[in-house]
Amino acid sequence: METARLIISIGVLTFLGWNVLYLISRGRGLCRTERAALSYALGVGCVSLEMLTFFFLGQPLRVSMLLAPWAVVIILNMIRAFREGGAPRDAGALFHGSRAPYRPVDILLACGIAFEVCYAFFRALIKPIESYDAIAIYAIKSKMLFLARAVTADFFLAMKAFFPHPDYPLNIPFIETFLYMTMGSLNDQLVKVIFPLFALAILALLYCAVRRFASRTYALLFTFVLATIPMFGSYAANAYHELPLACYYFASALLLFRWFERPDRTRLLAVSAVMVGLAGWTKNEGMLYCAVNVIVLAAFVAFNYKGMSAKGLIGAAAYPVIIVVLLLPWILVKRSFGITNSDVDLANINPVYIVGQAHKIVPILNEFQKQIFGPKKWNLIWIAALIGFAMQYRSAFTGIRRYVTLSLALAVSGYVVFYMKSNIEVVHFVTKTWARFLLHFLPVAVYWLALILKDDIRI
Amino acid sequence: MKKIVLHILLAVWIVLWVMFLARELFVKGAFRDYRILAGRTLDGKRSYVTGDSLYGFIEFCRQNIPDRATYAFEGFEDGALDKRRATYYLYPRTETPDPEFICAYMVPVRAREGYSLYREFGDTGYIVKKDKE
Repeated sequence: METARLIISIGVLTFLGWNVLYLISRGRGLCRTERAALSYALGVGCVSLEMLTFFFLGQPLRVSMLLAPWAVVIILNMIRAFREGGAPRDAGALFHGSRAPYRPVDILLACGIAFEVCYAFFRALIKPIESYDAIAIYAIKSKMLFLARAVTADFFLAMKAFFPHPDYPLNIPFIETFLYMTMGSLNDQLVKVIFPLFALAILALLYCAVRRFASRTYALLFTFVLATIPMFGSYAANAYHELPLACYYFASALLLFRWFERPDRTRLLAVSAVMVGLAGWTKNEGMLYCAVNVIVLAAFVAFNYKGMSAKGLIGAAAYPVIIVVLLLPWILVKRSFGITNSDVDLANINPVYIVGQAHKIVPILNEFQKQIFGPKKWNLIWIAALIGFAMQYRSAFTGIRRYVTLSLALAVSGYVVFYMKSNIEVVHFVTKTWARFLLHFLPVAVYWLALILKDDIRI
Repeated sequence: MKKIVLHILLAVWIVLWVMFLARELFVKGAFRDYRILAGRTLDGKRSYVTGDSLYGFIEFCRQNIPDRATYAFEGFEDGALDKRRATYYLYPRTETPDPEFICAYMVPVRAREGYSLYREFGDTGYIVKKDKE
Protein backbone atom coordinates (compact mmCIF):
# COMPACT_ATOMS: atom_id res chain seq x y z
CA MET A 1 0.00 0.00 0.00
CA GLU A 2 2.82 2.42 0.89
CA THR A 3 4.57 1.56 -2.38
CA ALA A 4 1.43 2.26 -4.39
CA ARG A 5 0.95 5.58 -2.60
CA LEU A 6 4.59 6.47 -3.21
CA ILE A 7 4.34 5.76 -6.93
CA ILE A 8 1.14 7.81 -7.19
CA SER A 9 2.80 10.67 -5.25
CA ILE A 10 5.81 10.70 -7.57
CA GLY A 11 3.37 10.73 -10.49
CA VAL A 12 1.48 13.64 -8.93
CA LEU A 13 4.73 15.60 -8.35
CA THR A 14 5.78 15.03 -11.96
CA PHE A 15 2.34 16.03 -13.22
CA LEU A 16 2.46 19.26 -11.19
CA GLY A 17 5.95 19.95 -12.49
CA TRP A 18 4.70 19.37 -16.02
CA ASN A 19 2.02 21.96 -15.40
CA VAL A 20 4.65 24.47 -14.29
CA LEU A 21 6.69 23.68 -17.40
CA TYR A 22 3.61 24.06 -19.61
CA LEU A 23 2.62 27.31 -17.89
CA ILE A 24 6.05 28.86 -18.50
CA SER A 25 6.99 27.41 -21.85
CA ARG A 26 4.26 25.08 -23.19
CA GLY A 27 7.12 22.56 -23.34
CA ARG A 28 8.09 24.05 -26.70
CA GLY A 29 11.46 23.07 -28.07
CA LEU A 30 11.69 20.07 -25.73
CA CYS A 31 11.27 16.41 -26.49
CA ARG A 32 9.03 14.19 -24.35
CA THR A 33 11.97 12.77 -22.42
CA GLU A 34 13.28 16.24 -21.56
CA ARG A 35 9.79 17.34 -20.51
CA ALA A 36 9.48 14.30 -18.21
CA ALA A 37 12.90 14.89 -16.63
CA LEU A 38 12.30 18.61 -16.14
CA SER A 39 8.75 17.98 -14.87
CA TYR A 40 9.98 15.72 -12.08
CA ALA A 41 12.64 18.19 -10.92
CA LEU A 42 10.22 21.14 -11.19
CA GLY A 43 7.49 19.27 -9.34
CA VAL A 44 9.81 18.44 -6.45
CA GLY A 45 11.16 21.99 -6.21
CA CYS A 46 7.84 23.83 -6.61
CA VAL A 47 5.91 21.68 -4.13
CA SER A 48 8.69 22.00 -1.54
CA LEU A 49 8.74 25.80 -2.01
CA GLU A 50 4.97 25.78 -1.60
CA MET A 51 5.42 23.91 1.69
CA LEU A 52 7.77 26.65 2.92
CA THR A 53 5.12 29.28 2.15
CA PHE A 54 2.81 27.46 4.59
CA PHE A 55 5.09 28.82 7.33
CA PHE A 56 4.23 32.38 6.27
CA LEU A 57 0.54 31.46 5.95
CA GLY A 58 0.50 29.82 9.38
CA GLN A 59 -1.21 26.75 7.97
CA PRO A 60 -0.63 23.10 8.91
CA LEU A 61 0.82 20.77 6.31
CA ARG A 62 -1.96 18.67 4.81
CA VAL A 63 -1.71 16.93 1.46
CA SER A 64 -5.16 18.15 0.38
CA MET A 65 -4.28 21.77 1.23
CA LEU A 66 -0.98 21.46 -0.62
CA LEU A 67 -2.57 20.07 -3.78
CA ALA A 68 -5.70 22.25 -3.87
CA PRO A 69 -4.06 25.48 -5.14
CA TRP A 70 -2.64 23.59 -8.12
CA ALA A 71 -6.14 23.22 -9.52
CA VAL A 72 -5.86 26.86 -10.67
CA VAL A 73 -2.68 26.14 -12.63
CA ILE A 74 -4.12 22.95 -14.12
CA ILE A 75 -7.34 24.67 -15.20
CA LEU A 76 -5.39 27.60 -16.71
CA ASN A 77 -3.24 25.15 -18.67
CA MET A 78 -6.29 23.21 -19.86
CA ILE A 79 -7.93 26.41 -21.13
CA ARG A 80 -4.74 27.40 -22.92
CA ALA A 81 -4.32 23.95 -24.44
CA PHE A 82 -7.91 24.00 -25.64
CA ARG A 83 -7.46 27.44 -27.22
CA GLU A 84 -4.06 26.73 -28.75
CA GLY A 85 -4.83 23.23 -29.98
CA GLY A 86 -3.24 20.67 -27.70
CA ALA A 87 0.31 19.68 -26.71
CA PRO A 88 3.33 21.03 -28.59
CA ARG A 89 5.12 18.88 -31.13
CA ASP A 90 7.65 16.47 -29.72
CA ALA A 91 10.98 18.12 -30.49
CA GLY A 92 12.56 14.67 -30.36
CA ALA A 93 11.38 14.22 -33.91
CA LEU A 94 14.05 16.77 -34.81
CA PHE A 95 16.86 14.48 -33.66
CA HIS A 96 19.26 13.72 -36.43
CA GLY A 97 18.80 10.24 -37.90
CA SER A 98 16.14 9.31 -35.35
CA ARG A 99 14.82 6.54 -37.57
CA ALA A 100 18.19 4.84 -38.05
CA PRO A 101 18.22 1.17 -36.94
CA TYR A 102 19.85 0.27 -33.61
CA ARG A 103 23.42 -1.00 -33.98
CA PRO A 104 24.85 -3.73 -31.68
CA VAL A 105 26.98 -1.10 -29.91
CA ASP A 106 23.81 0.99 -29.30
CA ILE A 107 22.14 -1.99 -27.66
CA LEU A 108 25.25 -2.69 -25.55
CA LEU A 109 25.46 0.90 -24.34
CA ALA A 110 21.69 1.10 -23.71
CA CYS A 111 21.84 -2.12 -21.67
CA GLY A 112 24.73 -0.73 -19.64
CA ILE A 113 22.78 2.45 -18.89
CA ALA A 114 19.64 0.47 -18.04
CA PHE A 115 21.63 -1.77 -15.71
CA GLU A 116 23.15 1.19 -13.87
CA VAL A 117 19.75 2.88 -13.51
CA CYS A 118 18.14 -0.30 -12.16
CA TYR A 119 21.09 -0.87 -9.84
CA ALA A 120 20.82 2.71 -8.53
CA PHE A 121 17.14 2.13 -7.68
CA PHE A 122 17.97 -1.19 -6.05
CA ARG A 123 20.80 0.26 -3.95
CA ALA A 124 18.64 3.19 -2.87
CA LEU A 125 15.60 1.12 -1.94
CA ILE A 126 17.28 -1.90 -0.30
CA LYS A 127 18.13 0.02 2.85
CA PRO A 128 16.84 3.02 4.82
CA ILE A 129 18.58 6.41 5.03
CA GLU A 130 21.81 5.79 6.93
CA SER A 131 24.72 7.84 5.49
CA TYR A 132 26.15 10.62 7.62
CA ASP A 133 24.88 13.87 6.04
CA ALA A 134 21.71 12.16 4.83
CA ILE A 135 20.66 11.27 8.38
CA ALA A 136 22.35 13.94 10.51
CA ILE A 137 21.51 17.00 8.41
CA TYR A 138 18.54 16.22 6.16
CA ALA A 139 16.46 13.24 7.34
CA ILE A 140 16.20 14.61 10.88
CA LYS A 141 14.56 17.75 9.46
CA SER A 142 12.02 15.81 7.41
CA LYS A 143 11.24 13.70 10.49
CA MET A 144 10.68 16.86 12.56
CA LEU A 145 8.36 18.30 9.90
CA PHE A 146 6.44 15.04 9.47
CA LEU A 147 5.84 14.62 13.21
CA ALA A 148 4.77 18.26 13.60
CA ARG A 149 2.71 18.31 10.37
CA ALA A 150 3.49 22.02 10.23
CA VAL A 151 6.27 24.46 9.48
CA THR A 152 6.46 26.61 12.60
CA ALA A 153 8.89 28.95 14.30
CA ASP A 154 9.61 26.10 16.74
CA PHE A 155 10.93 24.03 13.85
CA PHE A 156 13.50 26.63 12.81
CA LEU A 157 14.47 27.36 16.42
CA ALA A 158 14.90 23.65 17.18
CA MET A 159 16.92 23.17 13.99
CA LYS A 160 19.20 25.98 15.08
CA ALA A 161 19.49 24.78 18.70
CA PHE A 162 19.84 21.03 18.37
CA PHE A 163 21.03 19.97 14.93
CA PRO A 164 23.99 20.72 12.65
CA HIS A 165 23.82 23.01 9.62
CA PRO A 166 20.44 24.67 10.15
CA ASP A 167 21.24 27.00 7.22
CA TYR A 168 21.11 24.21 4.63
CA PRO A 169 18.18 24.72 2.25
CA LEU A 170 15.16 22.49 2.70
CA ASN A 171 14.07 21.44 -0.81
CA ILE A 172 14.67 17.72 -0.30
CA PRO A 173 13.68 17.53 3.42
CA PHE A 174 10.35 19.17 2.53
CA ILE A 175 9.69 16.76 -0.32
CA GLU A 176 10.65 13.81 1.92
CA THR A 177 8.04 15.13 4.36
CA PHE A 178 5.48 15.34 1.55
CA LEU A 179 6.14 11.71 0.61
CA TYR A 180 5.95 10.61 4.26
CA MET A 181 2.55 12.34 4.49
CA THR A 182 1.25 10.70 1.32
CA MET A 183 2.57 7.28 2.40
CA GLY A 184 1.10 7.82 5.86
CA SER A 185 4.29 6.73 7.62
CA LEU A 186 7.93 7.64 8.16
CA ASN A 187 9.24 5.12 5.66
CA ASP A 188 12.83 6.32 5.30
CA GLN A 189 13.60 3.44 2.95
CA LEU A 190 11.01 4.04 0.23
CA VAL A 191 11.49 7.82 0.37
CA LYS A 192 14.98 7.32 -1.06
CA VAL A 193 13.39 6.80 -4.48
CA ILE A 194 13.79 10.59 -4.87
CA PHE A 195 17.52 10.25 -5.51
CA PRO A 196 17.79 7.64 -8.31
CA LEU A 197 14.96 9.55 -10.02
CA PHE A 198 17.20 12.64 -10.09
CA ALA A 199 20.03 10.49 -11.48
CA LEU A 200 17.68 9.18 -14.17
CA ALA A 201 16.62 12.75 -15.01
CA ILE A 202 20.28 13.77 -15.42
CA LEU A 203 20.98 10.85 -17.76
CA ALA A 204 17.85 11.57 -19.78
CA LEU A 205 18.76 15.26 -20.14
CA LEU A 206 22.33 14.41 -21.14
CA TYR A 207 21.22 11.91 -23.77
CA CYS A 208 18.75 14.36 -25.31
CA ALA A 209 21.21 17.26 -25.20
CA VAL A 210 23.96 15.32 -26.98
CA ARG A 211 21.45 13.76 -29.36
CA ARG A 212 20.57 17.21 -30.64
CA PHE A 213 23.97 17.58 -32.32
CA ALA A 214 25.16 13.99 -32.70
CA SER A 215 24.12 10.46 -33.58
CA ARG A 216 22.31 8.08 -31.26
CA THR A 217 25.50 6.06 -30.72
CA TYR A 218 27.46 9.16 -29.72
CA ALA A 219 24.74 10.25 -27.27
CA LEU A 220 24.47 6.77 -25.78
CA LEU A 221 28.26 6.60 -25.42
CA PHE A 222 28.49 9.72 -23.24
CA THR A 223 25.36 8.81 -21.28
CA PHE A 224 26.91 5.40 -20.63
CA VAL A 225 30.15 7.05 -19.50
CA LEU A 226 28.28 9.22 -16.98
CA ALA A 227 26.05 6.39 -15.77
CA THR A 228 29.01 4.10 -15.10
CA ILE A 229 31.10 6.55 -13.06
CA PRO A 230 31.07 4.82 -9.64
CA MET A 231 30.65 8.08 -7.66
CA PHE A 232 27.61 8.95 -9.79
CA GLY A 233 25.98 5.58 -9.14
CA SER A 234 26.82 5.61 -5.46
CA TYR A 235 25.43 9.11 -4.88
CA ALA A 236 22.27 8.15 -6.75
CA ALA A 237 21.52 5.86 -3.82
CA ASN A 238 22.91 7.34 -0.58
CA ALA A 239 20.37 10.19 -0.06
CA TYR A 240 22.96 12.94 -0.24
CA HIS A 241 21.83 16.02 -2.15
CA GLU A 242 24.70 16.23 -4.66
CA LEU A 243 22.73 14.69 -7.54
CA PRO A 244 19.55 16.73 -7.02
CA LEU A 245 21.75 19.84 -7.10
CA ALA A 246 23.62 18.53 -10.16
CA CYS A 247 20.27 17.91 -11.90
CA TYR A 248 19.00 21.46 -11.31
CA TYR A 249 22.28 23.07 -12.36
CA PHE A 250 22.67 20.79 -15.40
CA ALA A 251 19.09 21.43 -16.57
CA SER A 252 19.49 25.18 -16.10
CA ALA A 253 22.82 25.21 -17.93
CA LEU A 254 21.49 23.18 -20.88
CA LEU A 255 18.49 25.46 -21.27
CA LEU A 256 20.72 28.53 -21.01
CA PHE A 257 23.04 27.20 -23.74
CA ARG A 258 19.97 26.38 -25.88
CA TRP A 259 18.77 29.95 -25.41
CA PHE A 260 22.16 31.25 -26.62
CA GLU A 261 21.41 29.51 -29.93
CA ARG A 262 17.96 31.11 -30.17
CA PRO A 263 17.75 34.25 -27.97
CA ASP A 264 14.14 34.86 -29.00
CA ARG A 265 13.12 31.75 -27.02
CA THR A 266 12.73 33.57 -23.72
CA ARG A 267 10.47 30.82 -22.33
CA LEU A 268 13.40 28.39 -22.19
CA LEU A 269 15.40 31.10 -20.44
CA ALA A 270 12.65 31.44 -17.83
CA VAL A 271 12.71 27.67 -17.18
CA SER A 272 16.51 27.85 -16.86
CA ALA A 273 16.16 30.61 -14.25
CA VAL A 274 13.63 28.57 -12.29
CA MET A 275 15.87 25.48 -12.36
CA VAL A 276 18.96 27.31 -11.13
CA GLY A 277 16.85 29.06 -8.48
CA LEU A 278 15.77 25.60 -7.31
CA ALA A 279 19.46 24.62 -7.24
CA GLY A 280 19.90 27.39 -4.65
CA TRP A 281 16.91 25.95 -2.75
CA THR A 282 18.51 22.48 -2.76
CA LYS A 283 22.01 23.15 -1.42
CA ASN A 284 23.98 26.25 -0.46
CA GLU A 285 26.38 25.47 -3.33
CA GLY A 286 23.39 26.07 -5.60
CA MET A 287 23.86 29.80 -4.93
CA LEU A 288 27.26 29.48 -6.62
CA TYR A 289 25.53 28.09 -9.72
CA CYS A 290 23.00 30.93 -9.64
CA ALA A 291 25.99 33.31 -9.81
CA VAL A 292 27.69 31.18 -12.50
CA ASN A 293 24.62 31.25 -14.74
CA VAL A 294 24.09 34.98 -14.26
CA ILE A 295 27.75 35.71 -15.14
CA VAL A 296 27.66 33.42 -18.21
CA LEU A 297 24.39 35.06 -19.29
CA ALA A 298 25.90 38.52 -18.78
CA ALA A 299 28.93 37.52 -20.85
CA PHE A 300 26.69 36.32 -23.68
CA VAL A 301 24.63 39.52 -23.61
CA ALA A 302 27.79 41.66 -23.50
CA PHE A 303 29.11 40.04 -26.69
CA ASN A 304 25.79 39.71 -28.52
CA TYR A 305 23.44 42.48 -27.38
CA LYS A 306 23.60 44.26 -30.75
CA GLY A 307 21.99 41.33 -32.53
CA MET A 308 19.43 40.60 -29.81
CA SER A 309 15.78 41.59 -29.85
CA ALA A 310 14.15 43.64 -27.07
CA LYS A 311 12.36 40.45 -26.00
CA GLY A 312 15.67 38.65 -25.56
CA LEU A 313 17.18 41.53 -23.58
CA ILE A 314 14.15 41.75 -21.30
CA GLY A 315 14.32 37.98 -20.80
CA ALA A 316 17.98 38.25 -19.83
CA ALA A 317 17.22 41.10 -17.40
CA ALA A 318 14.44 39.04 -15.81
CA TYR A 319 16.73 36.03 -15.23
CA PRO A 320 18.31 37.16 -11.94
CA VAL A 321 14.95 38.55 -10.79
CA ILE A 322 13.34 35.11 -11.14
CA ILE A 323 16.18 33.56 -9.12
CA VAL A 324 15.84 36.13 -6.34
CA VAL A 325 12.06 35.68 -6.18
CA LEU A 326 12.47 31.91 -5.77
CA LEU A 327 15.16 32.22 -3.08
CA LEU A 328 13.57 35.11 -1.18
CA PRO A 329 11.31 33.05 1.13
CA TRP A 330 14.23 30.98 2.43
CA ILE A 331 16.50 34.04 2.74
CA LEU A 332 13.77 35.79 4.78
CA VAL A 333 13.38 32.78 7.08
CA LYS A 334 17.12 32.59 7.67
CA ARG A 335 17.32 36.30 8.43
CA SER A 336 14.34 36.15 10.81
CA PHE A 337 15.83 33.35 12.87
CA GLY A 338 19.47 34.38 12.61
CA ILE A 339 20.36 31.12 10.85
CA THR A 340 23.89 31.25 9.47
CA ASN A 341 26.57 28.89 8.18
CA SER A 342 29.21 27.95 10.73
CA ASP A 343 31.77 26.74 8.15
CA VAL A 344 31.88 29.65 5.72
CA ASP A 345 31.23 33.32 6.35
CA LEU A 346 30.29 34.93 3.06
CA ALA A 347 29.71 38.35 4.60
CA ASN A 348 33.22 39.64 4.01
CA ILE A 349 34.06 38.41 0.53
CA ASN A 350 36.10 41.17 -1.06
CA PRO A 351 39.27 41.20 -3.22
CA VAL A 352 41.51 42.31 -0.33
CA TYR A 353 40.36 39.43 1.86
CA ILE A 354 40.71 36.91 -0.96
CA VAL A 355 44.26 38.08 -1.72
CA GLY A 356 45.03 37.68 1.98
CA GLN A 357 43.99 34.03 1.74
CA ALA A 358 46.18 33.36 -1.31
CA HIS A 359 48.44 31.04 0.71
CA LYS A 360 45.58 28.52 0.67
CA ILE A 361 45.56 28.20 -3.14
CA VAL A 362 48.50 25.76 -3.38
CA PRO A 363 47.15 23.23 -0.83
CA ILE A 364 43.67 23.55 -2.40
CA LEU A 365 44.96 22.84 -5.91
CA ASN A 366 47.13 20.04 -4.57
CA GLU A 367 44.09 18.36 -3.03
CA PHE A 368 42.14 18.96 -6.26
CA GLN A 369 44.75 17.11 -8.33
CA LYS A 370 44.82 14.23 -5.82
CA GLN A 371 41.14 13.65 -6.49
CA ILE A 372 41.86 13.42 -10.20
CA PHE A 373 45.23 11.68 -10.37
CA GLY A 374 45.33 9.78 -7.06
CA PRO A 375 45.64 6.05 -7.82
CA LYS A 376 42.78 5.13 -5.48
CA LYS A 377 40.40 7.59 -7.07
CA TRP A 378 37.99 6.51 -9.78
CA ASN A 379 37.96 9.85 -11.53
CA LEU A 380 39.16 8.87 -14.99
CA ILE A 381 36.50 11.13 -16.44
CA TRP A 382 38.46 14.18 -15.25
CA ILE A 383 41.65 12.87 -16.83
CA ALA A 384 39.65 12.27 -20.02
CA ALA A 385 38.29 15.82 -19.78
CA LEU A 386 41.80 17.26 -19.44
CA ILE A 387 43.06 15.18 -22.39
CA GLY A 388 40.01 16.19 -24.43
CA PHE A 389 40.64 19.84 -23.61
CA ALA A 390 44.30 19.52 -24.57
CA MET A 391 43.33 17.90 -27.89
CA GLN A 392 40.55 20.36 -28.68
CA TYR A 393 41.36 23.51 -26.74
CA ARG A 394 40.53 25.70 -29.75
CA SER A 395 37.14 24.05 -30.07
CA ALA A 396 36.49 24.68 -26.35
CA PHE A 397 36.54 28.43 -27.02
CA THR A 398 34.43 28.63 -30.17
CA GLY A 399 30.72 29.30 -30.58
CA ILE A 400 28.44 28.23 -27.78
CA ARG A 401 31.16 25.90 -26.42
CA ARG A 402 33.05 28.83 -24.96
CA TYR A 403 30.10 29.52 -22.65
CA VAL A 404 30.08 25.91 -21.46
CA THR A 405 33.84 26.20 -20.83
CA LEU A 406 33.25 29.48 -19.01
CA SER A 407 30.53 27.87 -16.90
CA LEU A 408 32.87 25.08 -15.79
CA ALA A 409 35.77 27.46 -15.14
CA LEU A 410 33.53 29.67 -13.00
CA ALA A 411 32.26 26.65 -11.05
CA VAL A 412 35.81 25.50 -10.21
CA SER A 413 36.87 29.07 -9.37
CA GLY A 414 33.83 29.45 -7.16
CA TYR A 415 34.82 26.42 -5.14
CA VAL A 416 38.41 27.70 -4.82
CA VAL A 417 37.06 30.97 -3.35
CA PHE A 418 34.68 28.98 -1.13
CA TYR A 419 37.54 26.94 0.31
CA MET A 420 39.67 30.04 0.76
CA LYS A 421 36.86 31.68 2.72
CA SER A 422 36.20 28.67 4.92
CA ASN A 423 36.78 28.68 8.67
CA ILE A 424 37.70 25.00 8.56
CA GLU A 425 41.31 23.86 8.11
CA VAL A 426 41.64 23.89 4.33
CA VAL A 427 43.30 20.52 3.59
CA HIS A 428 40.87 18.67 5.86
CA PHE A 429 37.88 20.49 4.33
CA VAL A 430 38.94 19.87 0.73
CA THR A 431 39.73 16.20 1.42
CA LYS A 432 36.32 15.65 2.99
CA THR A 433 34.21 17.48 0.39
CA TRP A 434 35.89 17.97 -3.01
CA ALA A 435 35.18 14.46 -4.33
CA ARG A 436 31.43 14.96 -3.97
CA PHE A 437 31.49 18.62 -5.01
CA LEU A 438 32.89 17.42 -8.35
CA LEU A 439 29.56 15.67 -8.85
CA HIS A 440 27.76 19.03 -8.94
CA PHE A 441 29.20 19.93 -12.33
CA LEU A 442 30.06 16.41 -13.56
CA PRO A 443 27.07 16.21 -15.97
CA VAL A 444 27.99 19.62 -17.48
CA ALA A 445 31.61 18.42 -17.82
CA VAL A 446 30.54 15.23 -19.63
CA TYR A 447 28.29 17.31 -21.92
CA TRP A 448 31.19 19.68 -22.57
CA LEU A 449 33.45 16.74 -23.43
CA ALA A 450 30.83 15.43 -25.88
CA LEU A 451 30.62 18.91 -27.45
CA ILE A 452 34.34 19.49 -27.92
CA LEU A 453 35.12 15.97 -29.18
CA LYS A 454 32.25 15.85 -31.65
CA ASP A 455 34.39 16.60 -34.68
CA ASP A 456 37.04 14.16 -33.54
CA ILE A 457 34.85 11.13 -32.96
CA ARG A 458 32.60 10.39 -35.92
CA ILE A 459 30.20 7.68 -34.87
CA MET B 1 42.72 4.90 -36.56
CA LYS B 2 40.64 7.14 -34.28
CA LYS B 3 37.81 4.63 -34.41
CA ILE B 4 40.16 1.83 -33.29
CA VAL B 5 41.44 3.97 -30.40
CA LEU B 6 37.85 4.74 -29.43
CA HIS B 7 36.91 1.04 -29.45
CA ILE B 8 39.92 0.22 -27.27
CA LEU B 9 39.10 3.03 -24.82
CA LEU B 10 35.48 1.87 -24.64
CA ALA B 11 36.57 -1.72 -24.02
CA VAL B 12 38.96 -0.57 -21.25
CA TRP B 13 36.19 1.57 -19.69
CA ILE B 14 33.78 -1.39 -19.72
CA VAL B 15 36.40 -3.70 -18.17
CA LEU B 16 37.11 -1.15 -15.41
CA TRP B 17 33.39 -0.66 -14.84
CA VAL B 18 32.81 -4.40 -14.42
CA MET B 19 35.88 -4.65 -12.15
CA PHE B 20 34.70 -1.85 -9.85
CA LEU B 21 31.20 -3.35 -9.77
CA ALA B 22 32.54 -6.80 -8.91
CA ARG B 23 34.84 -5.32 -6.25
CA GLU B 24 31.96 -3.50 -4.61
CA LEU B 25 29.68 -6.53 -4.69
CA PHE B 26 32.08 -9.30 -3.69
CA VAL B 27 35.23 -7.80 -2.15
CA LYS B 28 33.56 -5.02 -0.16
CA GLY B 29 30.66 -7.30 0.73
CA ALA B 30 27.75 -5.39 -0.76
CA PHE B 31 26.20 -8.58 -2.17
CA ARG B 32 26.21 -10.18 1.29
CA ASP B 33 24.64 -7.02 2.76
CA TYR B 34 21.91 -7.00 0.08
CA ARG B 35 21.09 -10.67 0.74
CA ILE B 36 20.68 -10.02 4.46
CA LEU B 37 18.76 -6.77 3.97
CA ALA B 38 16.35 -8.37 1.50
CA GLY B 39 15.17 -10.75 4.21
CA ARG B 40 14.49 -8.11 6.87
CA THR B 41 11.60 -5.81 7.69
CA LEU B 42 12.11 -2.04 7.64
CA ASP B 43 12.95 -2.04 11.33
CA GLY B 44 15.26 -4.97 10.79
CA LYS B 45 17.03 -3.04 8.03
CA ARG B 46 17.46 -0.03 10.31
CA SER B 47 18.92 -2.39 12.89
CA TYR B 48 21.31 -3.92 10.36
CA VAL B 49 22.70 -0.61 9.04
CA THR B 50 23.00 0.87 12.54
CA GLY B 51 24.39 -2.24 14.17
CA ASP B 52 22.00 -4.67 15.91
CA SER B 53 23.46 -4.03 19.37
CA LEU B 54 23.32 -0.23 19.13
CA TYR B 55 19.89 -0.24 17.50
CA GLY B 56 18.61 -2.51 20.27
CA PHE B 57 19.84 0.04 22.81
CA ILE B 58 18.24 2.92 20.88
CA GLU B 59 14.92 1.03 20.82
CA PHE B 60 15.28 0.43 24.55
CA CYS B 61 15.74 4.20 25.08
CA ARG B 62 12.72 4.97 22.89
CA GLN B 63 10.53 2.65 24.91
CA ASN B 64 11.68 4.00 28.26
CA ILE B 65 12.09 7.74 27.69
CA PRO B 66 8.93 9.83 27.12
CA ASP B 67 8.51 11.45 23.71
CA ARG B 68 9.20 15.05 24.68
CA ALA B 69 11.90 14.35 27.26
CA THR B 70 15.46 15.61 27.04
CA TYR B 71 18.48 13.37 27.19
CA ALA B 72 22.25 13.23 26.77
CA PHE B 73 24.47 10.43 25.52
CA GLU B 74 27.51 8.87 27.09
CA GLY B 75 29.76 6.45 25.27
CA PHE B 76 29.53 8.26 21.91
CA GLU B 77 32.06 10.58 20.36
CA ASP B 78 30.70 13.99 19.51
CA GLY B 79 29.78 14.12 15.85
CA ALA B 80 30.19 10.36 15.37
CA LEU B 81 27.84 8.63 12.91
CA ASP B 82 26.48 6.36 15.65
CA LYS B 83 25.49 9.38 17.70
CA ARG B 84 23.85 11.07 14.71
CA ARG B 85 21.83 7.95 13.99
CA ALA B 86 20.81 7.63 17.62
CA THR B 87 19.73 11.30 17.66
CA TYR B 88 17.64 10.73 14.52
CA TYR B 89 15.91 7.63 15.86
CA LEU B 90 15.27 9.12 19.31
CA TYR B 91 13.66 12.32 18.02
CA PRO B 92 11.27 13.93 19.20
CA ARG B 93 13.32 13.42 22.33
CA THR B 94 16.07 16.05 22.18
CA GLU B 95 19.64 16.20 23.40
CA THR B 96 20.48 19.00 25.85
CA PRO B 97 23.36 19.87 28.21
CA ASP B 98 21.07 19.59 31.26
CA PRO B 99 18.94 16.51 30.46
CA GLU B 100 16.26 14.59 32.30
CA PHE B 101 17.82 11.30 31.19
CA ILE B 102 21.33 10.12 30.36
CA CYS B 103 21.68 7.21 27.93
CA ALA B 104 24.98 5.41 28.49
CA TYR B 105 26.09 2.86 25.90
CA MET B 106 29.11 0.58 26.47
CA VAL B 107 30.00 2.61 29.55
CA PRO B 108 30.37 0.99 33.00
CA VAL B 109 27.64 1.80 35.49
CA ARG B 110 28.73 4.63 37.75
CA ALA B 111 27.18 7.11 40.14
CA ARG B 112 26.22 10.55 38.84
CA GLU B 113 25.34 13.42 41.13
CA GLY B 114 21.66 14.26 40.86
CA TYR B 115 20.81 11.12 38.85
CA SER B 116 19.70 7.61 39.78
CA LEU B 117 19.82 4.38 37.81
CA TYR B 118 16.52 4.10 35.93
CA ARG B 119 16.72 1.12 33.54
CA GLU B 120 19.40 -1.35 32.51
CA PHE B 121 19.84 -2.86 29.04
CA GLY B 122 21.75 -6.05 29.71
CA ASP B 123 25.52 -5.54 29.81
CA THR B 124 25.65 -2.95 27.03
CA GLY B 125 23.81 0.07 28.31
CA TYR B 126 21.62 1.79 30.85
CA ILE B 127 19.59 4.92 31.46
CA VAL B 128 19.86 7.18 34.48
CA LYS B 129 17.11 9.63 35.39
CA LYS B 130 17.40 13.00 37.06
CA ASP B 131 16.28 12.97 40.69
CA LYS B 132 13.21 15.04 41.45
CA GLU B 133 14.09 18.27 43.28
